[in-house]
Amino acid sequence: MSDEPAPEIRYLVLGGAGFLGSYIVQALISRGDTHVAVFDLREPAQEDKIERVSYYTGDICNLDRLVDVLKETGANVVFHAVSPIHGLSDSIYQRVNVDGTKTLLEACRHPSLSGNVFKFVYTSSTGVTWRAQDIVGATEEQLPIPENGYDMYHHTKAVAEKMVLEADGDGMRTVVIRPGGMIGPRDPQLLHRLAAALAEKKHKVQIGNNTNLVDWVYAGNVADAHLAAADRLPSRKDLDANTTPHPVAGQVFIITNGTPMLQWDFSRLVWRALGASPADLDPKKATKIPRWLALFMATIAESWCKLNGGHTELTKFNVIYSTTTQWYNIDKARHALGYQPRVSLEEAAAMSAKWWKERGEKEHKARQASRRKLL
Amino acid sequence: MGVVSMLVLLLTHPLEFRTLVQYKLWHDAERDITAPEEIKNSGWDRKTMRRCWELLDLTSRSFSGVIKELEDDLARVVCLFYLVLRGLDTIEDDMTLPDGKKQPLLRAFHDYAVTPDWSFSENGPDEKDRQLLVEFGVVSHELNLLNEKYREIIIDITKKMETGMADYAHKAATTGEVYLETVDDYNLYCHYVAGLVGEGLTRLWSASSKEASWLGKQLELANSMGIMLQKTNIIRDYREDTDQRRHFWPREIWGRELYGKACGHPAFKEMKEMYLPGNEKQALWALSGMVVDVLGHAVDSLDYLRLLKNQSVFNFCAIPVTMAMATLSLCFMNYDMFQKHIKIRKAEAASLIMRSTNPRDVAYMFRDYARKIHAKAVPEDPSFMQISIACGKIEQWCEHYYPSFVQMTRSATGGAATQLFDPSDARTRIAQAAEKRDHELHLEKRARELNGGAPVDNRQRAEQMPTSELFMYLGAAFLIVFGSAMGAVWVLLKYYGDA
Repeated sequence: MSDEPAPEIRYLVLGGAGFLGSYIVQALISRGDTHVAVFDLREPAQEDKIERVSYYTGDICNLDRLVDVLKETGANVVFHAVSPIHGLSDSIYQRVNVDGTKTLLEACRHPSLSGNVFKFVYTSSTGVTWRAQDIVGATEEQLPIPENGYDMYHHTKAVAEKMVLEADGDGMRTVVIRPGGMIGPRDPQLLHRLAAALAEKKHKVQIGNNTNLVDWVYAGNVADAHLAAADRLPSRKDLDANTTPHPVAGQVFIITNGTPMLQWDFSRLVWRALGASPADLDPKKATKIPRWLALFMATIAESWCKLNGGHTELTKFNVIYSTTTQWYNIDKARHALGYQPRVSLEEAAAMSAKWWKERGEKEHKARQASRRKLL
Repeated sequence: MGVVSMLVLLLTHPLEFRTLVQYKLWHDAERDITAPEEIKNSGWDRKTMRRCWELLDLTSRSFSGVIKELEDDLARVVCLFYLVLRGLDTIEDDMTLPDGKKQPLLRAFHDYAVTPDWSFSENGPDEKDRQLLVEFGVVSHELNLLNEKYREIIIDITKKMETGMADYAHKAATTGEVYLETVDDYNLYCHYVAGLVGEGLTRLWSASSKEASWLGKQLELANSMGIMLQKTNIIRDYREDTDQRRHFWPREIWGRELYGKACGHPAFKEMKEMYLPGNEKQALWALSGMVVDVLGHAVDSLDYLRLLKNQSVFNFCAIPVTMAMATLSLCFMNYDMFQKHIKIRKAEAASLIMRSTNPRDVAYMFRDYARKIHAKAVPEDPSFMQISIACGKIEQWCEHYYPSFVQMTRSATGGAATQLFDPSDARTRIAQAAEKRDHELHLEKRARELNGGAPVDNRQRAEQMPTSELFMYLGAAFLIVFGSAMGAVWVLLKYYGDA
C-alpha cells in the first residue's frame, strides 16, 4: 500500500510501546525501514520489544527531554500516538493530550533541530465528534467537532487535534488520523472490558434492541493508514510549494474496517472466543434491558459510586455508547491515502482471541489482582 | 390456485389471502403475445415461433411469465435465448449419454443451434425436456430469422457455456470425481451455467438499445447476479440433487474441519451425511457457510439493478433476485431443507413480484431479508461474524444510496416531491448547505439571464479558451504592464533624474 520509503527517512513513534504505537513500529520495520525509534513513558516488556528499534523513555510534557530524543534520533517523521485509555481522571487527559501535544509540537519546531522534523502524524479518535447521537455513514466534513466534547477524554483529544491542524505549514506538515474502536492482539481496553463483563456473568444481558451498527477496525489497518498518511505528506523539497488545500496535509481522516456490525453481535462473538457457552449467548435467551431503563440504572449506579467510592461498568457513557449507531464513510481515506483494510474483522477477532488465551488473560488477572490490592 | 385452497388460505392465513387477492386484482394482466398489434414483436403469425412459445411454457415454469413481459421484441429474443440454453442443459444433464457421445455434442452445440432442421432424439426417456431437442428445428429456424446483433450474442454465450459444461462433464466422467472441491471451482461452475446468462442478457439489453450501450460491457456485476441466483438454487435443491447423486456444494465449504470441530465431530466426508440424524448442527453450520458465500453477491446485484432504466428489464431482473433473497432467508438455519424440498409461500412470492419495481424498494426488501437472516443467526455458528458483516454490508448499501435522513414528501395537491432532512442527523448540515448553494447559484443565473441576455457563465468561457490564446492574452497584458512601468520609470528619470 505504501510507497517505497526513502532510506534516509528517520521515524520517531511517540507511544510506540502502547497498543496502536507498537503496530505502527511493526509496520515500519516490516516494510524495511531501518531508522525507527520509540518514545514512551516506559519500555515495553522484553518479549514485546521489536528488533532493530531503539527505545527511549520520558515524559511527553518534558520539552528538554523531547528535544534531546528528537536530536539523538534525527527524526524526520513523528507519529504522535500517545493517549491515555478512556475512563481515567480528567487531569490526566488535560496533561497528556493537551499539554503533551503542545509540548511535542514545540519540541518538533525547536530551533536547535533546524527544521529536521517535517512530517507530523497525530492519532486522534472518532470520538472527538461524538455527541451521543447516531452517526450513520457520515464523512469527516459532515461531522463537526462540538464546542464541548462529550467528556474530558474526547474534549482534550479534540483540542489536541485542533492544535495539530493549526501547526500545519512553515516547514512541517501535519495530518490527523481518527481511528474507530480498535481490536487486535495486545488490546488494553476492549477485550479486558468484555472479559470483565463475562466474569461477572453480564454477557447474558443485552441493553437495547441490538439494531445499531457500529464500526470497528483492526489496529494493524490503522497503522497502515498512518504510514500511508506519512508517505503522502509533501516531501521536504515541496513542503510549502502547494498553497491550495493539500489532499493529505492539514486533513483529517476517519479510519475503520468499513464493515460495520451490530453492537451485540461483536461482543457475543468475543465472548464466544473467550469461552462463554453458546447457550448463554443465544440472542433469543438474553435478558433484554430497554435503553431508558439501563440509563436510569446507570445514573443511580454512578451516583452511588460517587458517594460511596467504588467502580462501576454500568455508566451512562457505556449504556449510550453500546446502544448508539456509529459507522462512518471512509471514502476520503480510500481516495487520498489509498487506504484499504488489509485484515478483515474476522481475522482480527481470531488473532485477538488467540492472544487473549496465550497472554492477555494472564495479564488481565494480574491487573485485577493489583487493583484489588490498591483497594 | 383452486377455489378450495383459496378458502382454506382465507381461514388459516388471512393476510396471505389478502395479498393473493390484491395480486390477482391489481397486478397487470399478462401481456397477450397473440394480439395482432404484438405480432411483429412476438412472431405469433409464424408456426415455428408459435411452437417456440409453447416449448417455453413446457420447459420453464417460473420464467415463461416474466420473459413474455419484456418490452417489444426482447420477449422473443430472450425466449429463443432461453430455449437454446435449455437445450444445451438437457444434453449436459442427461446421465444416460456416455462421455464420448456427450463431448462432441456439447462442444458443437453453438453450430447445431443454427443448423436448419437439426434435432436430437437420443436423450434418455426420463429427461424432462427431451421434447425440446426432438423439435429443435423450430428454434434454429427462428434463430436464423433473428436480427444478427442478437443472434451473435446468443451464439457467443452458447459457445462459452458449452465449453465450460463439457469441461466439467469430462472431468467428472474421467476422474470419477463427484464433488466440486474448492470455492473457486464452484464459482467457475456457476459462472458457466448462470453468470454467462447474466452477461448474455445484459448484452441483449444493450443491443436492443433499451439500456445504455456501455452496460453491455459492464459484465462483472451481471455475472455476479447470475451466480447469486444459481447458488441460491443450489443451496435450496440440496436434497433433490443429493438424492440424484448430483453435487454442486463445494467440499471446501461443507467439508470444513471447523464445522465438525464445533460439534465434536470429524469433517463431513460425503454430502449425504448432512441429512443423517445426529449431524443436524454440523449440517446447519455448513449451510451457513453456503449462505454467507451467496450473500457476498447481494450488493453486486443491487448495484446492477441500479444501472437499469427500462421498467420491463428491471422487473425481469429484480423479481428473481428478490425471490433468491427470500429463499435464502427461508433456508438459513432451517433443517427442513436437508429433508425435503422447501419453497417460499405463494403469497410471499406474489408480494415480492408486486414490489420488485424500483431499486429503492428492492434494496429495502434485501435489507428486510438480511435482518430476518440475522435474527436467526446464533453466535455458536462458526460463520456468525461473517453473516453479521454480510448483513451489515446490505444495510450500508441501502444507507449509502437511499440515506435515511432524507424523506421524500409529496404535497396533498400532488405537486413536485420535496426533500425533508432529519435535523438530528450529522449529514443534514452539509446537505442543507449544498441545497442553499445550489439555490443561490440558480438565483444568480436567473438574475444574469434577466440582465439582458448577458453571458451566463463567464468563468466557464474562460476555462474553455485554448491555451495558446490564453498565453497570447497574458503575454499582451504583461507587455502592456511592463511597457507602462518602463515608461513611468523613463519619465521619472527624465524629469527628476538630475535633481
